[in-house]
Order: sequence, then structure tokens, then C-alpha cells
Amino acid sequence: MVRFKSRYILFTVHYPVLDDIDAISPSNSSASNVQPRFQTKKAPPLSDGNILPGGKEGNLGKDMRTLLQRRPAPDGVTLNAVNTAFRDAVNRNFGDLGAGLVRASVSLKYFSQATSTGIIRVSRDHYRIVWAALTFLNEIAGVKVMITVDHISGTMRKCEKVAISKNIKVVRELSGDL
Amino acid sequence: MFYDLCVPWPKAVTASSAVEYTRSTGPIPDLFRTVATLQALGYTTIAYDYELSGKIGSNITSPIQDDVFSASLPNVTFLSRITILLEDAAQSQALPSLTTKFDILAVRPTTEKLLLAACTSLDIDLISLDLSQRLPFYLRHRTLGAAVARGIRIEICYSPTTRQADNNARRNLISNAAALFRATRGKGIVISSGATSALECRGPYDVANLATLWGFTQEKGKAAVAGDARAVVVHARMRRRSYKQVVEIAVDEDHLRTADNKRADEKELQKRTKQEDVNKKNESLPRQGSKKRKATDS
Repeated sequence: MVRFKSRYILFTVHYPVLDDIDAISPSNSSASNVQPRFQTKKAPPLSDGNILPGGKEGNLGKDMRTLLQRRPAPDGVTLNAVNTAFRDAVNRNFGDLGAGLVRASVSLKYFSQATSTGIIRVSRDHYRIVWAALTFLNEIAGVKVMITVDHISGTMRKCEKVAISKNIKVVRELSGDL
Repeated sequence: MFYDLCVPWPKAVTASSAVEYTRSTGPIPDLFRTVATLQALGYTTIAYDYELSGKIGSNITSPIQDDVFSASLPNVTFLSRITILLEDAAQSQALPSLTTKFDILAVRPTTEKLLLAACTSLDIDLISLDLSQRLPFYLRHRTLGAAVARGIRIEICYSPTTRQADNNARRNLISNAAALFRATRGKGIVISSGATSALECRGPYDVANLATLWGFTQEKGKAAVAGDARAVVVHARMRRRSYKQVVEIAVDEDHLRTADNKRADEKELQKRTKQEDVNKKNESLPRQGSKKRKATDS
């Protein structure tokens, strides 16, 4: 029999220009009951002069660099917001044809506000449309974002494993500077 | 090993304005954010791009400070590059003097004749076109094929697609990129960011996926960000430091000299040797020769 094949896209939302770095733990919104697993140290905002070679610290702290890669979602970037945003992106960039091709199979399976990581399921034939739409996406609920796709796999389990291993690496960097 | 060959160096900063580095906001912190984002995304070599138009004096100094962020981002190799907006054939006279000041030479031709000159005779590394606007000329396979055969790559900057708002720029970019793919069949194309802010950067595999929308295959898309981009850097290095088959032994930035890289380097060396032979021949032609005159007609 011809099976229906799908692709699971593991993506991370980044906030490269978020100035208010203190707002890194999501507030207790009524929509989602997210408890932050760890509290990162309070880091000075990027716009302060102390990250530049001439400033107080010559090097960019490892914390800052890691936070540039992965951080909890700010207010407003919820599962529903991400859902609406990427469907809008498909619609805007690929029109009715693109939206129609993926409509039956696309769904946001997972999004965590603590890690800004999500998994989208699409049919194998059209996953590049959704992938490109994620690349074109630059704003979610008013927050300027950048999305990278970390892994694409035929099964959800592999995506979960990759997500876990990447998060472990981030936690190690933040806590132990290994 | 991923390469981003176009991060515009902010115009407001010159080599002498040391005070810029102590400010907390402004072009240098923005540049740092951009470069740090690129590093976090996995790019290991980044080239700062200085755009120049108009008459090029012989005393141009490079305003680019490659090593300004080297302490903060130690695993990244920084290069300097110049893009000359080619409006007049006389600008190409300045190319030899720029070789020593910038790592990579790029040219942005504005007319078909200048594109032909860039593809067939100018001694450069990269042809960069502003693909977010309608091009005033057609991209022909013969012209671009000549460039690729000489080892000169053609660059696509993807930042118009990720910059906000401008739909027209995005559509033009997609249309031109597809036309470029059709004219070159995917060979000799390099994709770089042209990012002026951290928001416009994208990861290398995401960029390769965008390339598949324009007609590339997955392998060619990845080569555009990795293999072909590396070839540009190698081509530039050889242009500066080699003559015929003699290559100066220097510390190689690429620690991974895989078999593929070695083969690619040998191909580059052959192309440069061929190019130097052609240059020698052209120089020795008498002044009244028709070849030289035709190429520099504007």
C-alpha cells in the first residue's frame, strides 16, 4: 500500500534584536501554564557598551552568545501566535496554491515557550513550502524574530531527540561553561 | 564550513573614527549583533563588504577593520571585500591597486557591455548584481558561462527576501535568481546574506532551501553556501599570492583539507594559470589590436 509520508520540521525561534534581555522568563499567562525550568543569570542588555572590545569586558560572555541562540519566548509568542504566524506566512508567500497544497497535512504539533522550539508536521511532498515560509517569517505577534530549522525527519521521535540533545548542550554552556 | 561573503561594512564608520567603538548604540554594535548572529547560525568565515562607486582614486585605503570582533568571536575568520559599482570602463583600471588592500574583489556591472567585460576580462573574484531590482540586461548563458569557466562566481544576496515590507524587491529577487540559475545551470553561484541587521540573517541550510525554490537542487544549494563560496575565497587568495604554479606557502585557514577541497583547489589553480596565460597574451598584443579596444568600449 502507498503510505502517507510526512515530515516533521523542528524549528527554533530566535530573537536577535530583543533589547530587553531581562524579560527572559515567560510570564504566567492564562493561556499556557509554563513553568520555566531554569532561571538564567541576569545579563546586561546587549546595547550596553560592555560587550565591545573597547568596553569593560573584552569578550562577549558565553551567556550572551548562548542566549543569542536559544532563549525563552517573550510575552505574546505563544503556540497560537506561532500557529497563526506561519500559516499566514505560507499564505502570503505562496498564495492560495501553497496554502492549499499544505492545508490538509500541516499542523503545529509542539511549541514550547520555555525553549522557543516547535515541531510542525507536513506532508513529505510539500514540506519545502512550509520550510521556506518559516524562513521568510520575520515577525510573530509584534515581536521581531528569526527562525532556523534544526532538523527535518520522517518521525516525530527523532525530532524530539534532537531537540533534547540541543537543549542539553545549551544548559551545559549556560551553567558550566564547558 | 559555511561562508557568508557579504556583510556590508557600515558606511558611517571609517578607519580613523575610533570613538565609534566606545559608543553603546550605533553602527558598530549593530554590526556586532549581525556578525554574532551569523556565528551562532554556523557561519565560519565572514567577509565585510565595502561598496564603492564613482571614480576610484589610486590612494584608496580600506576602511574595514577585519579584526574588530576577533576577540569576541575567535572561531570566525573575517575577510575584507570591496564591491565596485561599475558604471564606466575606466573604473577597472583601478583594480590592480585594490588587490593588496582587500581580500576579495567584487564588481557590480550596470550595463551589458560591462557585464561582458567583467565576465571575460577583468581580474576579479566575484560578480555581484543587485537582484532586488529589474536588471537592465538579460542574463545570457554564454556570458555567465565565460565567467564561471574563468573561476569567477556570481553572487546572490538573499537579504531582500528577509527584509521587511518590500514585496517588489522580494519578487524581483526570486525572478532574477531563477533566471540566474537558468543561465548558469547552478554552477558558479554563491549565496550570501548582505545583511545590514541581525534580523536578516538566516541559517545556511535555510538559505539552501530557499535556493531550491529558485530551481537549485539540494546539493547545488548547499554548495552555494559552502563549496562555491570557499572557492571564491581560495580564488582570491591565489590571485593575491600566486603566480603560475608557484603558490606561497602560508598558514591555511581551512583546517579540514578534505579530498574534495583539495580537488577544488587544484581546479582553481588550473583556472588561474589559464587566466594568467590569457592575460599575458593580451598584454603583449600591439596597441592597435582590436581585442583590447572592443573590451573597453563603453
